[in-house]
Formats: sequence, structure tokens, C-alpha cells
Amino acid sequence: MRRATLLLAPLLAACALLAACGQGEETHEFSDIRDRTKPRSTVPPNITAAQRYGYRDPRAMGPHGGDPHGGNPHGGDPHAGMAGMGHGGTMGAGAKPFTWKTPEGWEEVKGSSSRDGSWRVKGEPQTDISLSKLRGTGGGTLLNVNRWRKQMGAADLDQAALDALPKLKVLDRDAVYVNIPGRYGGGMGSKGASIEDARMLGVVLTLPTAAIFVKFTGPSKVVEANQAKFEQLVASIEMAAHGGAAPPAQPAPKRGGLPSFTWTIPESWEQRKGRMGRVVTVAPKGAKETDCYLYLLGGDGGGIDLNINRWRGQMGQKPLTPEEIAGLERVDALGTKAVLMKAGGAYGGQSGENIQGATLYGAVILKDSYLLTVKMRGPASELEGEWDNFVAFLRSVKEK
Amino acid sequence: MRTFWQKFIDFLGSFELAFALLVLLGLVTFVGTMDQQNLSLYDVQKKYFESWIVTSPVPMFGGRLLLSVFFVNMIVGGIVRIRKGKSTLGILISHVGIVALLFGSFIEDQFKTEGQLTLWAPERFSDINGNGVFDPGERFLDSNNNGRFDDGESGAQYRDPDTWEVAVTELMPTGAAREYVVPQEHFEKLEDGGSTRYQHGQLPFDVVLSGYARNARPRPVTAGEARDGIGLGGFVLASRPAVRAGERARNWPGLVVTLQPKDGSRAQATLLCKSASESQGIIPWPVRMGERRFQVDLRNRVWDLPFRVRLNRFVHEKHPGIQMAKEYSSYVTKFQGTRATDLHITMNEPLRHEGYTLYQSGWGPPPEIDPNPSRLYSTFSVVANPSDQVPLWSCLVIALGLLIHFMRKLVLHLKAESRRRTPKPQGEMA
Repeated sequence: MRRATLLLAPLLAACALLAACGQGEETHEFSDIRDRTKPRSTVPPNITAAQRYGYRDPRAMGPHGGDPHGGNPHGGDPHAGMAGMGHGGTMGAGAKPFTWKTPEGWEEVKGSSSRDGSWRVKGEPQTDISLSKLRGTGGGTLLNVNRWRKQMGAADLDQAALDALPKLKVLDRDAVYVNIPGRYGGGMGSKGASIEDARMLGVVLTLPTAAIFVKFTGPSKVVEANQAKFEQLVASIEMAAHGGAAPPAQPAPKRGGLPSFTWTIPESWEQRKGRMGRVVTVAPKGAKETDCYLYLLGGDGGGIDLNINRWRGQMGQKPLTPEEIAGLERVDALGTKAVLMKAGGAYGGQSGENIQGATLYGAVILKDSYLLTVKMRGPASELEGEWDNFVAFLRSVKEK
Repeated sequence: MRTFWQKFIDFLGSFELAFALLVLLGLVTFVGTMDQQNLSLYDVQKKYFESWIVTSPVPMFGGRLLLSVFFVNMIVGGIVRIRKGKSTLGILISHVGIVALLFGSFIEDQFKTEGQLTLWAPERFSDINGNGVFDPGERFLDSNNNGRFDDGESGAQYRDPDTWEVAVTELMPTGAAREYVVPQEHFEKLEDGGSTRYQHGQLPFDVVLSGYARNARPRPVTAGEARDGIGLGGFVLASRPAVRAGERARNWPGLVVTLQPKDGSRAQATLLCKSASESQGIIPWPVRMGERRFQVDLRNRVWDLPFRVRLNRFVHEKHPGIQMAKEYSSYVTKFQGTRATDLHITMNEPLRHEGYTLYQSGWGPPPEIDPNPSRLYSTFSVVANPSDQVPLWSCLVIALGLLIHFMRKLVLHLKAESRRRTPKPQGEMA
């Protein structure tokens, strides 16, 4: 054994020396290179470091930081793969920011000032349905889901369990959907007594600039019977279009760091309620399934080719080569050339829309600091004869 | 006079070394097992068994070093130098089996990949005619509220939730992407300082990684730090103690990435780390270099499968009256090229194809999270291990060797007994 010990000692010393190495800079060649047909994820090209870290821009908050869940002046839900909503001010103070369709058998009731909507099931005074939003992330999805679980006497979830929860679409985005049985002890500002055999349905959508909550509590049997109606209500929630009747030219809401726009709506068109993230939505009068909207992206917004081919993909068309895109029609707009495209086919949009026999008109305007897209899609029958109006609308867009 | 090398070879093949190695292996196994009170299973494996040396809680040899030396000891002493003959045939065969087992574990250590693939089942529907297919007129639970019946999800990648990689992705104008990937084992050693530079002829910059922390979050710099020029863009990486939850660590690593353009222009740097927002993970860093667009990401390690798997149906059955699982089963379709094959994966019947094994390992959402889910998901453990059959064959060889050896011993013993019991011829009385 002594011999073994003597010979193992230098081996141990050599290992210790090897372990001590590793300081300083080593240089390697990349050896693991993978080609993919599309990236695994994309983020807005103009997202700042502070936004990636979940903070306000440090230039706005000073060196001591601030609210880690604060707003995001330049917007962008990085997990949505596009610039998305945000651009503070879209959800302005004063008027309610949402519209909805109250399900049959429910009634709207006056809720607290912190709510944007409040309902109950007719004849069921113990039920309470609320819609509210908070600026910033409201503490994050996990914190809010666990707050709700606490109200129901349920144990907290960890991040992995949260990730496994089902999703429900709110404003075209995936929101966490909870269904919690238990004893309801009352939420913030709750006036009602506790409910023994209760159930809570809840939806949390956390965005960089806002958190949106829809919550339904009540006796278990009543909630279960109204679950489909709750999901109908959630699906019907849309951003309200403020501004009333459209004058010939309207200013767009100011978007942080990006320009505002004016435009002229063609006589045979009208302004429609928009969705989150859009600058404006318009459509030919009487067209039920068609809309046309401006969408503003910071930076190069993915570039002209990517947007043209994304739209072609939505129509089930093959992507164009850069040479083919270079040959597309162009018109003057915003002091540069807008690239135009038309495509026909079956439209399948990001939010699950599906239009058979559709037509899509698109225009992409790339400027130094932003990319503006104009997209119009709907059934071919509704878009017939609208090309000139589309181009006129596009050319009327001006920076404010 | 025996030379040093002769003595060294003697030592390498000696019984004493084999005995010392087995004692040390026992010790490292004991300490590693005890340390599972503090570390996750993954961390224990890395620290005690996939290491050359262990520095704490007491300095000792790591499992990798002990098994490597044991491998040499077996070859030198147990195969090359062993006395060869009928009496040692069984032992020799057993040693070959042990060497094969050790070699198989080396192959596994170097080439095995392991991860998870989670797929959502189709939306539930009222299967009126019981044909297992969603037919026009049947009703379904529109779980994502998109107005159409969604088939089961398909996937061709698996993700290791325990390990990470840095990926520099070039976003091509065509919409395609090229990823330049650095695996965790290259940058985790930067925890103690230093930096590592990565280069490629097609990249317009070098990538320098530094400041790795196993668990970290960003925090704004203090006024003092700002005065001293500390931080990147007003933030620093704040290390947190590594945490463990169950068998898997729930840590979010962070590091500093610097891109140094080859044309000598100013370098750009950022922190890659988890967002301070609870609902966000690590958000990639978008970078533009001239006309080219890149994203740099720190993400869970991802591997591609050479085929695509779609989940058609997930079956979860319990024994009557109790919560014990009777069956977890996934009915899947494997797509490869133009071929589609329907397969059934259940608890003891994995899918084996082209060196990949997909085991049924989980499902959800669990009832405590969603008591009435509109849709289920199935999780497969995916293992690519070129030596996965080596332990079986090695053990058979070892068993064969031992059988031969002990049978021979038994025969010799019986013969000796027989000789002993045979009465010796009596000598004539004088």
C-alpha cells in the first residue's frame, strides 16, 4: 500500500496543477454550427438592454434603478416575435381601454374604480367577474397567479408549474388560464362573504407595458356552468378605438421614440376599432371580414424581404427571392419608395383567422429608424376594386 | 535491477492499485450520495463522478479519474499481464467484460445527449362514431379559442433543462438562420475568472465570453459603481447562491458577451441573463453589424432529432378506485422524409430509432394545477447514447466469465472431495 501511496501522490499533484490552469483567455473555433429554416425565436431589433432585463430604460430612471416591473416606453413583447403592443399611451386614462361582448345571462355591474369591467351572473349575487389592467407587469404572472391561489386556499406554484398551465387568447396573445377550486376567501376590495365550495377562473396576460386580468369567482357549480361564457367574454375583449368619427386626417397616438402619423381615409372607407399594437385600422364601408391597418416597428422591423415573405406565408404562398422582391411594384410614400405586394389564396393569420379565397394587399415602407407596414386582407370579393383606394391610403400617410 | 518504468507498469497492473481504486470509488460514491442533501442530482454527478478531482468538502479523486485509472489497471493487470491458462480463462473473460463496461461508460460520457420533448395532444372532441378521428360535425373543446380543431403538436428537437448553451444566430434575409453554438462545458469554467474567445471565418466578429455565474440576475449599478465606470449599460450581473428544487436545479445562469468586430471598430458587449420580470426568461440580444443581423442567446441546450414526432393521442389510465397509474401511453406518428409511421410509446416500450430512444416520462397538466384540462401534454425523455446496449452485453460477458471460473472451481472441488472420500488402499499388516 505504501508503494501505491507514493505513486499516487505525483498524480494528485499533476491533477491539482491542471485544475489550477484555466485563467486567462483561450481561443477556440466555433465547431457546432446549425442551419435552420427559421430562427428559434426573434426579438425586436430595437429592444434595449434595460428592456431585456425587465427594467425601465436606465436613462429614464437614473443610476439607482427603480421599479423592476416598470413600463416599457418602446414596447415590444420579445416572445411574440414582433414589436407588438406597448408604446405607452395606447391604453390612455379616462375612457375605458377595452370593449367586450357581455355573455347572455350575465349583467354588467358597477365595479370599483380600479376595474375596467365588472359583471355578475344574473340571479347569482355571489358571482363576481372583473376585467382590470395595471401599468407595468403588475408583479408578474407567477406572483398574481399565486395571489389568486392563496385567495382560494391553494398552494403556490413554481415557475415550471406555471409554464405548464393552459393558455387562452386575450387580445390575440397567449394568456395564462387558471381554474382553481377551493374556499374563496375574497380578493382585494371584496365585499362579499367567503364561499365554501367555490371556484375561480382567471386569465393573466403580462406584457412589457401592462398586465391584464380577467377573473371569475363564485360557487363552484355556477362557475362551472358558466365557464364557456367566461371564455366567450375573454375572447370578445378588444382594445377600444378612441376618437369617435374619423375626420379626413387624424393624428396617430404618439409612440415613444417613434414618429406619429397622419393619414387620409378614402371616402368609401371608414375607421374601425383597432387591435393592440396597430396605429390605425380602416376598412371599406360594409366590408365585414376585411380590414386594413398600419403597423409600426422600430429599427428595420425585420426588413422588407422578411415582411413580404411573412405575408406570403400567411397566404400559403412560397417566399420570393431577393431578386423577385426587387422586381415588385413601388410607389412614393413617406419620402421613400414603398414596396407593394398582392397575394391570393387561403389566409391564415397569426391570431388564428382563416379566410378561404382571400386576397392580401401589402406595402412595406422602410425608413432609417422604423418600418411601417400597411396590410389589407379579406375575402377576394370584398377587396375587388379596392387596390386604388389601398394605394391612395398608403400614399396619404405622413409623419406628423 | 528493475527500471522505474518496469516498476511503474507493475504498479499500474497491481492488485494494490485495484484495491486502492475500489476503496476510493467507494469513498467518492459515499460522499457524493451524502452531498445530495445539498446539491441536485445533476450537480452531484458533475462534481463527483464526471470530474477528475474533487476539491470540497475534502480533496479527493473524482470518478472520471478513478475509472480511467481503473480501466488502465484492468487492461495491464487483468488482461495483458495476467497468467493465461485454463485456470484463469473465466477471470480473463470477466476482465474483458469489465473493460468493455468501462469503455462503454467513456463513450456515454463523451457522446450521450439527453433531454426532453413535450408535445400537446390534439384538442378533445366528442368522438361520436368512436373512430378516434375528428370528423365534421363533432364538437371539440377549443382550448386556444382559435375556432378550429387543432391536431396534436409535433416536434423534432429535444431540450436539456439542466444544461445551457450560448447561440449566436445570424438571421438571413431569406428568413433562414445559422446558429454558432458554444456548449456549457466551455464557459462554465469561467465562473472563476478569465475569458474565452470564439472565432469563425464567416462571422464579422469574435465572440468573447466572460463573467459566468451559475445563478444570477441583472441589477442597476449603484451611484458609486456608475462613478467608477462599473457595469454594462447601467447594469451589473448580481450572483445568487445556486438553488436546488427536487432533483433538478432551478438556476438561471448569466454571463458577459462581447462582440469584437474584425474590422477593428468598437466592440459591443452586454449581459445575457434572466429578466427581472418573473414571467420572462433570458431575452436574446439583437445585434446589427453592417447589413447583417444577429441574435445572441443563452438558452437551454437543444438537439435536433433526425425525424419529427407528432402526438396523436395520450392515454392516462388509473387502476380502478385508486390513484396508481395503470398506463401512460402516447400514440405518435414518426415522420422521416416522405415516410410516416404510426407508433405506440408506453412506460416500458420506448421508441428506438436511429440511435435515439424516446421514453414516456411525464404528462400534464397535473390535476392540482388544472383539474379539468381541455388538452393534455405528454413528455418524452429523449436519449441518444451510442453505447446504450454496452452495459447489457458487458454484464453478460462478465457473468459468462464468472460462470466459467466458478464452474471450474466447483468441478475441481468436487473432484478433490471425491478423491478425499475414496478410501485409500489399506497397507498390509506387518
